[in-house]
Amino acid sequence: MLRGIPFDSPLYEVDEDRGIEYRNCDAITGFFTIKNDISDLLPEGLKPYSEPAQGGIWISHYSFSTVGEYHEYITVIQVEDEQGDMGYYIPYIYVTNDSALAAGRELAGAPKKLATIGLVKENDVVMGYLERPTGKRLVTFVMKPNTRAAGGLIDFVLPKPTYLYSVRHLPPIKGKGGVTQLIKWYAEIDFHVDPNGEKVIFNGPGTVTYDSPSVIDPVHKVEIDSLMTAVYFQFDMKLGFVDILREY
Amino acid sequence: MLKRSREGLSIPLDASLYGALGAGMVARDAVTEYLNCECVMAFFTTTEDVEGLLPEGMELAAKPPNAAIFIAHYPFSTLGPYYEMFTLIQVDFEGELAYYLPYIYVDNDAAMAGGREVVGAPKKFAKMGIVKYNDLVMGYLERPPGKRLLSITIKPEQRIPDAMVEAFLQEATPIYSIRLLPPIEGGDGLAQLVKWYGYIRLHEDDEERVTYHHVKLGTKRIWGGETTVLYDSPSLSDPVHKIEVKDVLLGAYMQYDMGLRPDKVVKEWRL
Repeated sequence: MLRGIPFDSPLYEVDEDRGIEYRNCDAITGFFTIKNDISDLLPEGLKPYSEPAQGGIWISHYSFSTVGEYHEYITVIQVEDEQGDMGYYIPYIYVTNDSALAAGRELAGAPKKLATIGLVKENDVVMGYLERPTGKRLVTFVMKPNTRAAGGLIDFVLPKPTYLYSVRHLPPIKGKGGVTQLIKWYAEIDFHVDPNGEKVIFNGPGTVTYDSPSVIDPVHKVEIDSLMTAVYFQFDMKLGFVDILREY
Repeated sequence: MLKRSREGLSIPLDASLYGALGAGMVARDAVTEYLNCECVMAFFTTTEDVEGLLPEGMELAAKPPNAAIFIAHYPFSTLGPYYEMFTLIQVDFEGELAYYLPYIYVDNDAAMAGGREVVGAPKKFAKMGIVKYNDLVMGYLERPPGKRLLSITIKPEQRIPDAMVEAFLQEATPIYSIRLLPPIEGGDGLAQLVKWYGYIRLHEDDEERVTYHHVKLGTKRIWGGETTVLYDSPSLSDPVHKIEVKDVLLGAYMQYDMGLRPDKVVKEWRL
């Protein structure tokens, strides 16, 4: 088991074989071409997967997980690592749960902060939002899930496993004891299947806006050129670890 | 590490959650400041069972051992406003009197991540409060909300004399905790015993202000009185009750400013 502090009552415990498990989740995700040069945000060892670079936004609710119930927002940049694998680098990620925050930061280097995150369904629209602090709207993502998603785009965007990259960092004290590592980890997403045997994935028109940008939480640095797809889906998931690719 | 973006002390590297450092500074130079704080606290004797919570090389400083609990409110800090509860065990480490920190709770993410990642303060989130009701001040800790792990109730009737304050509360208090980066494959994790300092500067009144004819009160804004410390509803997930309260030596309500500063890594274990 991977355990965090305090030693006698860890804030998180993760089974190394089973990973962190999630059940009965739902999410919206938007995949887009990136307008600006985001090489500044990438660590050494990763490069954009395509030209122009592509990225995505994910807003989810995990009704159950082995680190508790929570909402999550993620910005991703599609990258290629030095082994030739495609995956997603995470420059920004927000959660609503302390165990998820600590486990993410300390095990994988997912640079989690706490925020107010919602995934709401009203009439024909599903809306995800990110605020930090509450009332400062950083992102609004609305979409209308009116068509079953089919074809290869979802399998390409969210393969199984989906590789994820982040930088785990323990600051040095008096120049000693610091650690910085590029971590490769993964998400295995199991889409729910309905009684007709179809995956519960819907797409439809969508809009992503960076309503009120903040230099403290600069998610808007990943500028959206063209939104290629907006998807709503229901799923279970597992998170696990692959390797430490680099130590800086 | 990043190809071109400006890097801070913590992740996300280009939008650091905590730690404003100037050019050329390291974590040891960074002081987190707190203004106009208040807390309820109790200093008490406990059982020798607490020795099991200490890291290798650290001994209990007294027989019976001493410990303390604080529940504080920081309306302003350079990490933002928050509540905090922590337990300290008095120890002797390398011939110096100090405190080991086994349990600590906050309600602010920058404080939580900064504490865990820089000095290994094992912070979790909880619901805390300081309530003033008639003649009483009560601090409480709940996790989750509704599960009352701890309450400290004080009747702050009298200023504590300056000499007694100096005996219990040093201005620069050395604190130890264990910073942990769990191993992923084995051999790539790290545990470090980190030394840091808490600087408590009690608010003070000048002598004239606390002199009433022949009566001269203590100058520091710390009041003692009847104190009750209760572990109302113990929990294995948050076992603060393991630090049993035998005799309360000092219970107080106080007003102060504070600074926290990491000092050094004194010991390291590869995991």
